[in-house]
Amino acid sequence: MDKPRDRINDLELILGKVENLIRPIIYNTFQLQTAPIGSNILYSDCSCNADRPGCNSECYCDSNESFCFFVCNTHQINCCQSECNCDMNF
Amino acid sequence: MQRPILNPELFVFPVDSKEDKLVLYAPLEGSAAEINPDMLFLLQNLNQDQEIDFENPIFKRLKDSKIILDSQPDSEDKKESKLDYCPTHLTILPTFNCNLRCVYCYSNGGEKPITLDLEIARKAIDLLTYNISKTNSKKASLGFHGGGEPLLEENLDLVKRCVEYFRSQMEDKGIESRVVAATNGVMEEDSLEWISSNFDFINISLDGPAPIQDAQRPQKGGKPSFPYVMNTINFFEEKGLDYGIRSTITAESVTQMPEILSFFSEITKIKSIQFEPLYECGRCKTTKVRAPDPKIFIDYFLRSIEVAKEKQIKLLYSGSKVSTPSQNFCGASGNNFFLTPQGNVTTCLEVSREEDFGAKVFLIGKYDSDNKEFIFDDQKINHLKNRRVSNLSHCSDCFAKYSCSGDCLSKCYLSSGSIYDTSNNPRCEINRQLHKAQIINTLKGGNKNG
Repeated sequence: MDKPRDRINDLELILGKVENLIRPIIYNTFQLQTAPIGSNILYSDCSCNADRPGCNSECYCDSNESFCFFVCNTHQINCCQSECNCDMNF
Repeated sequence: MQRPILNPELFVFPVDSKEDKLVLYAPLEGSAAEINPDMLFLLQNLNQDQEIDFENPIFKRLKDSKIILDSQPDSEDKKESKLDYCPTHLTILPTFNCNLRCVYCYSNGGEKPITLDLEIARKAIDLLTYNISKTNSKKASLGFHGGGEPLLEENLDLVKRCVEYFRSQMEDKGIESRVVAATNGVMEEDSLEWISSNFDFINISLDGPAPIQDAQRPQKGGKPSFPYVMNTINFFEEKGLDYGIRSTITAESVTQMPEILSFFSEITKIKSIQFEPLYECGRCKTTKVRAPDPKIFIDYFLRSIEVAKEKQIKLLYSGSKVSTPSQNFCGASGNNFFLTPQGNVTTCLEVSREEDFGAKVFLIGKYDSDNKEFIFDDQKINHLKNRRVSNLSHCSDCFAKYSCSGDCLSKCYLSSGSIYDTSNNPRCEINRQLHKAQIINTLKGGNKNG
């Protein structure tokens, strides 16, 4: 598979002709709609039992069996273990 | 007035083929915005030499959603991981023996049926107990998985002894314990009684209605497995045991995904179901069972989403995890402690035999029966731990990279010979398209504040 190029300045590679996208900039015609996409686990404060400040957690889901682990990267321990709460409902 | 800094992890893709609506996506900030080409042009031409007014509603919203930043973010560049291997969760693979002969089994279950020695299992639980004390953990869990079928009646005594020993060790230390298993669901009534009383969660592999299940997951002698699995599900529901269903989707069953979902919702009380496309390996080589075409899988998964909404069932797929952006796909990146029937420690369930293709990568330790202890290969562990999204060059410019997290390590290894080379993974397009659909659907249901 070709290397994906989805960064903002690579869009012309996806769409082909970037000049076709350029229209006069009129601020109040911008259709800006924002929505939260899930929660920020990667850089969130860790809620591990060790309760040490600055602790980051990451979700390690074993997709084969619905087991889920949270591992504290900063303090290098398995700090939280729980069922997978991945909100993957579409 | 301030100088703008564009979020370094900012991606954009068109909503549809008309290309007049675009999605701007900042995965690490958990935000997305639907924009028009004017906004894209503006952002592409922003530079730090110009000052912008963050009181302007448009820029304020971009700043609030962290698409534009007012200071440089912390770097999450190519880190060398130096994490200790200190797992507090153990999964035991009691045996390679199996009462089914699934046509796609990655482990060739039932062939060369080695069974784990109880002494090794107890030593693994001892190591887990030691790690729990060392890390001050308050919770621990013990899982059982294949290889073969972990809850085979003839091996249930081994499982019982492991559970009893684990529970007693955790109780002594005041640790909250949890016991779980993944099973094919074909078991006797006596086994069901004991499992219902002693397990906290069971994940059952069931591929669909009887014609699909019995064709893909027949018993050893070729008899149907469907009635037995349904009996197990009904039993667990009666006893109130929490369980999940995982279905493997093949080229044969892919167009029936919505019907499979409807079927499960009608005959069970299941609240979530996981669909995974078959990856051709293991027994597929002899049975010639084929993986679904990625485009067809995407099409029917998206149709299944509509059914899932209607039936109020949560539909899961491992390659698109929108709410948990992560550097690692799973604990195969050096954190898992899976004990195989041969006394090896692997981090990946799909690589459990010494003769498996990925054994030299994923088998990170072994029980030393002379010294009665586990020995681990730190070099292998570090190789796995450094398999982070930041270290995957093919994924560097992909909007979905923190969602699929580079995807399954063993499948990448099988397809390219390296866990770091994700370029030949057939699931890549599935992951991207399904993640895109998730984001667009979220935006459709999001707060309109433009």
